[in-house]
Amino acid sequence: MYADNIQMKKSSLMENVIEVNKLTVSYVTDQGKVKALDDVYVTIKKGSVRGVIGESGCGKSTLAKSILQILPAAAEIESGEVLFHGVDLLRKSDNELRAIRGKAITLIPQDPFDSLNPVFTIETQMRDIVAPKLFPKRIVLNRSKVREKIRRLVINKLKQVQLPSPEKLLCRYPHELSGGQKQRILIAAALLLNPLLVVADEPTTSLDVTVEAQILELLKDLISEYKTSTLYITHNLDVASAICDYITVMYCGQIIESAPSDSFFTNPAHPYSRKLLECLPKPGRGFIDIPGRVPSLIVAPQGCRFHPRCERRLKECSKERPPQMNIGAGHWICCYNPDLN
Amino acid sequence: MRIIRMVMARLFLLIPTLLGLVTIMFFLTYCLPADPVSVAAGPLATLEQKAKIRKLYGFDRPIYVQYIHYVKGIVLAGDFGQSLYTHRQISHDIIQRLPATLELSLCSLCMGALLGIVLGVYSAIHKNSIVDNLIRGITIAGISLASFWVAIELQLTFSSALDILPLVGRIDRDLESLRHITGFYLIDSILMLNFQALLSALSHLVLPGIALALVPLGTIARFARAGMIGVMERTYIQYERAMGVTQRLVIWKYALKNALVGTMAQIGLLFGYVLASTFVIEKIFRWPGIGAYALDSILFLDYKAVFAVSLWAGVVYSIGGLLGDIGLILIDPREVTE
Amino acid sequence: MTTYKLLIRKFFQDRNGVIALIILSILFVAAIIPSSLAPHPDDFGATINPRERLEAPSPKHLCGTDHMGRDIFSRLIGGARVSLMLCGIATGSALLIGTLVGLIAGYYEGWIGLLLMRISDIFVSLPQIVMALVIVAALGAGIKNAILALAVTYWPFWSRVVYADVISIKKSPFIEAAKALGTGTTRIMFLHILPNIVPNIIIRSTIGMGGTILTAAVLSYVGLGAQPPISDWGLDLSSSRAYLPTAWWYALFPGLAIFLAVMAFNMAGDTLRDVLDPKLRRSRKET
Repeated sequence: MYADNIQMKKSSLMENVIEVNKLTVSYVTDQGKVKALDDVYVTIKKGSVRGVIGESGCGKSTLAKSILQILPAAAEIESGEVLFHGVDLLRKSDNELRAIRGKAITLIPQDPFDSLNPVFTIETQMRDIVAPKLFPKRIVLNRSKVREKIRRLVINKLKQVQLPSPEKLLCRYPHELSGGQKQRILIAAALLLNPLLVVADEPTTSLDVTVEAQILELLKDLISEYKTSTLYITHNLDVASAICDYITVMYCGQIIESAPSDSFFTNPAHPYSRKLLECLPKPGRGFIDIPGRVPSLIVAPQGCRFHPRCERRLKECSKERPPQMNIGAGHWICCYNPDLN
Repeated sequence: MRIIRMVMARLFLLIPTLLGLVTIMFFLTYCLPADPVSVAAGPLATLEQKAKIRKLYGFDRPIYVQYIHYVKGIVLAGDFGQSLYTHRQISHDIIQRLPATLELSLCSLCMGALLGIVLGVYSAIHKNSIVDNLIRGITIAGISLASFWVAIELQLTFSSALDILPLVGRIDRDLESLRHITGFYLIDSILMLNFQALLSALSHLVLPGIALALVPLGTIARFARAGMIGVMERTYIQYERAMGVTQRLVIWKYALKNALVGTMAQIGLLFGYVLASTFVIEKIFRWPGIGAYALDSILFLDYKAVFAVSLWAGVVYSIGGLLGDIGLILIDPREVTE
Repeated sequence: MTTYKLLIRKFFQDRNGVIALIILSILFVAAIIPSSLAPHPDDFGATINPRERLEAPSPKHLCGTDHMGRDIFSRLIGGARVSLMLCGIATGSALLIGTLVGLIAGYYEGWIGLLLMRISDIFVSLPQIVMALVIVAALGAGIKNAILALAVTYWPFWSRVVYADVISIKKSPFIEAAKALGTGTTRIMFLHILPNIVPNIIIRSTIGMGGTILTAAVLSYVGLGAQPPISDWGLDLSSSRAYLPTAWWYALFPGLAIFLAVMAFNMAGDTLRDVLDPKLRRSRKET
């Protein structure tokens, strides 16, 4: 069923920064086991930006956390692998992972207001992210020299994210800064050590619209300048179209569509994707929404999870989950009745 | 800068509070049944002897005159009067006994607090494990135990039965004649390079120290645990983990500092508790400190001394609260900006 | 109706809470009918049995005998009544006075609030035990004065807690709504504000009982509380000192009794906090 995909994996081993294969992650809750990710496949080509789109609760955050391996204790990885340059992260030890996090794979978090520790200065927090990776043997011989080196590195990066007077910023505390400033600092932190992969978890969701625009502009510039491979998570399709090279759509823990950006936005094949694009408010049109509600993962529908709300549903949709189908030029879809116009 | 302003303001506010305290004390002790003169004179005194005592200690003057005289004495000369019991200047008595109490209290408080923090953090990290339940049992026992009972049982076990620790006193009898520089035996013995004295002083500190440290340990451990559990859920801890900050730093630096914010308020109360406990504990261990003196003064109704020790208690209690607030400002930068 | 059942069930799910409840029940029974529980009820007071003086624990005397030959186990049971009564009355009165003062001060604020709080502050400037010691010493030793001293030194704590709570609740929209509808002051205070403070008060008073028992024990220990020959845990501890280290049981069991009683109150308070607090938050959200 997934033969085509496996072939793709073998041939482009070196090209993919991240390959998530057949990943199933479930959470143990009071009401039973919930599959937050169900047989998920995601690949990110080197130097590209893959957007993951979906509504709240579709599993985007779980996906991000699985790559970073910071899943909570209640989470169980039932099957699958997360290949980072061919190496399975799921089998790595905590220490090995810690060396990767913050250096090779970094995070731009969603909430700039609570992601920075309120009782420590910016400099201290940056230093503790960077120091163990730059100086793993912890030789404390030249402490001031080391600090100076890290300081210069951080100031440099802060300049690149267009923060004025970065030297002064370093001794500030998070509560003295605005949301936009904090988000820029978080972006700088993510790019400090020239990571191989950046996981951006809805980085502009908490910001005001004008600030959001600035940050997006900044991100675009930085990504294209450093050609950083990026996993960009968002529920905002406009943002996705501006930044991403590839789009993956998730619904209820399942991947339902995956395509290059152009192909997706001109021709979204899955009914859900199409509806999503139609839902974007356009002046003079009035509000359109998708009938029904996102089902709770505990009582997820059988077969294709979207079928109860789908106008194009067929009999097969409620029985078995549709297999992946290639509809041309890297455009994949999981649907029995896609809209191919 | 803000700290200095706060300290000044607090010390300033302390004055009316202490004044109010002395007023209440005066009212209590003079307007109520027990007659100070009879107590001072003893049951066998004749009327003449009582009259003499009354005149000597100024009990014959009207209350408000005594009151004003007393307050003036303190403010102008630091004179708290003379003790009915020791017949010495009370201020002299207190200053002489100060180092003993300070040494004991500070050691117990610090040990209890440090151990409490470690236990609390450990307990929080291994939440709901056997270790956690054990520590929680210890901490709740700590705040439920009567310190004077623990003191007695410690004496019974370690001094009488096992004979590995001294029963009473601050230092071995034959080492008592040491020259005192600061009055703190631990510091003095190190300065004099007298390690025998150091060992003796330390061994004498153990039992009373443990008795005093139980409540601080229990309280701080509970608050540290609660604080840590709350903090570990926060987004910034998740972020630090995601960016590969070492586990040791995440827990003992980044999480702990946040968790201690809630603990700071307790420090003031703990100061007050330790101070109050010294009253009985010092008596039990014959520790020559202000606590034993205070208890004796109260039981003997040595009025002037009671006022003096009450003021001392009030000041210490306030300083404790002040230190807690200072600690809060030092830890949490958000407190600084108005 | 069902919320109370839920709360009670939740209480029983906590093992510590159940243990605490068992201990407290035993204490209450001992306080109410000590004579039926104790094997030697005559020993509550001033009996003298010189032949059975200072005997180690045995099947006849579970905790041994004291220097007057009295059965310590029975005296412990008698002591339960003294402790619970003494501390119950003291805590109860402190609670009533303090809550009233706090309500008034918090509701009216202004100069009355300031005055009341300043008075409270003076009493709180010393640790409770210190002031209690001075008061009882001045008034004369005895249970009645001990109760008075404990109540007088405890109420300011309550007034401050209630004051803070009232101030924060006053800002709630539903209080403003009640005022806008013209509800009378007393009604607002007692029917609207008070019910919201109650859970906090219940939790703190449980833990407060534990603290009061400890303070009362100190008073008795230094001779200012219950006087001989009354059965009182602190008093027995103090009497035991002359006969140590030989009569080790004499000091051990009264102290153990104090410990168990205080611990039970503390554990119960903890469980109550777990049960009431999250429920409180949830129900506030729902309304």
